Amino acid sequence: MPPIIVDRLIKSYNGNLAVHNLSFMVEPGRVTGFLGPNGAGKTTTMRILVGLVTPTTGTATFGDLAYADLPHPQQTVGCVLDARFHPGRSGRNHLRVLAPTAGASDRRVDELLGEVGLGEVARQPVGEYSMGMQQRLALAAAMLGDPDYLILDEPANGIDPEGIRWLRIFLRDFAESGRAVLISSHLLNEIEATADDIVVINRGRLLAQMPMSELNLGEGITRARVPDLRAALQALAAIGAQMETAVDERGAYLRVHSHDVGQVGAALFSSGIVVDELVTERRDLEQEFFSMLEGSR
Amino acid sequence: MSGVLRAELRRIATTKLWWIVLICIFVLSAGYAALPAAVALLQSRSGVASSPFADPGIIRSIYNGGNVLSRILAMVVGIATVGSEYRYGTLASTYLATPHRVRMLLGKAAALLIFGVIFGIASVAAGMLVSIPFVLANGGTFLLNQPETWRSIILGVCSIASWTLIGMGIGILIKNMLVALVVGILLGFLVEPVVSVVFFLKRWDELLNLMPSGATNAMLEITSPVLFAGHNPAPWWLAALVLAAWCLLPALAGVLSAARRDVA
Repeated sequence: MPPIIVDRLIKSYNGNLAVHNLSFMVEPGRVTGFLGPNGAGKTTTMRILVGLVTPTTGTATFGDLAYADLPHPQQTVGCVLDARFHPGRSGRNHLRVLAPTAGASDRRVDELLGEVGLGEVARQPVGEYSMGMQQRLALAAAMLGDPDYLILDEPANGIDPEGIRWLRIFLRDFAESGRAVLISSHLLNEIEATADDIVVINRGRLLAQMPMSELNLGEGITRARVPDLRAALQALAAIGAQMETAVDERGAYLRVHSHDVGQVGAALFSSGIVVDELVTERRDLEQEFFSMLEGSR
Repeated sequence: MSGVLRAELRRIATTKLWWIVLICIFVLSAGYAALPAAVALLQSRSGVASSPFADPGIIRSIYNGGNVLSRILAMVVGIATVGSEYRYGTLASTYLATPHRVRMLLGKAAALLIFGVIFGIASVAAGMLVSIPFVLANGGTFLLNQPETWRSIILGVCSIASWTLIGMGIGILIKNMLVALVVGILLGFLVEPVVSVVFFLKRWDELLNLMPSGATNAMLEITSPVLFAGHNPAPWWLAALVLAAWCLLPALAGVLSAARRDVA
């Protein structure tokens, strides 16, 4: 299964560049988080990718093929874009309208409705659905053709926390079966637990593409707050820890260059040192994200 | 193509509009068919016409009495089928299912024509039902042994079906569904009839033959004065071509414009 390839994509609306020379890849077997603040060009890029918007120049393809050239688009790509429905049509009928071109039977429709937890309300008009139910219906529609690629634009909008957990597991399973997921969000921590790779854009330009694991999350710093700094320095030096003292609004503390809270705690305990606070200091992903955006200015 | 057609048939079949329109067409067509029948009855009572219920033009007018209204309702379904896609933002998912836009729009047109034929049959069936008491009570004839009668009936069904395409064209060209409906209904119920009546009264027969209603009347070969049928109608096949042009031009313009447009 080939990757999604976005190659030197440019989209200009009346001279304003919504997407500016954007290139990145989405690999199969991985969940790729597509990040950027609102208005960064994520939605435009995704809409170009599935042929709803024509790029000014450049290409966005599944392997070599543009969406419109795919022999069986719904069996290849599933999309959750803006999740809009005719309010008078039932959820089941919404899927049945999309089923013939996806090669899906009515049985498959009913199966999917059950899988996304809409079996009970399948015959009610979509106008009576909650936001979360509509998002799940949109996901069922995307899955009709059992696609190889899933493209989701801000799917967490309007979903309850339980729905987000469910979606996370669903996407992980999907990627682990060797297929590709591209999921956009303006909130980094929404994607943190799901994404293997991230692509960060701002003002239509690429800021970074990297595996999530390379995003420096500042792991390896343990914050130890103790009344007796000197005793603690000695005790920790004995186990060979690198550290320095630092000060925040609550006073002085130790920054130990280790992510092993247990080891640090045990060393302090065996020296009989009173500990007020002992935590792993993780740089916030959001902070990482914003420093990347800062750098782009 | 068959998948696209089935999808578009389901799209129309899964909302309430089509059967509401179907019932309206049947009921109102019965009323509209009674109009030329009643006029013919008055003519026969007053001795203006000797046996109107044996006159092919009159009989065809009754069978097709609902046409003038049914075609507008068929157009409404055409407008709403496209317009609701813009109104409810479902066009994106429709294009995702069939990214070849012209193919999708052709599927939509074909599905609309199929529903249009159903509307047409309902309209003509109502007209034929209404004719029964009039014809029997006045010693007339149904003329069902004449090929011209059947041609008129079949073309009547086709003309109603083809008005769905006018609606589809208007629906694409005017993206706001409510504005498109108002424009379509005003054009169909007010502007076009008024202009046609002016042409009728001025006896500008060539111009009247070029109007959608004039072309329809000429094509169906109906002569009832209540339908403002022209004094010098074009031959039925030429009228059919004129009507086809009226239906296909907006649809074609719509398809060409929709095929390029970004879906925001």
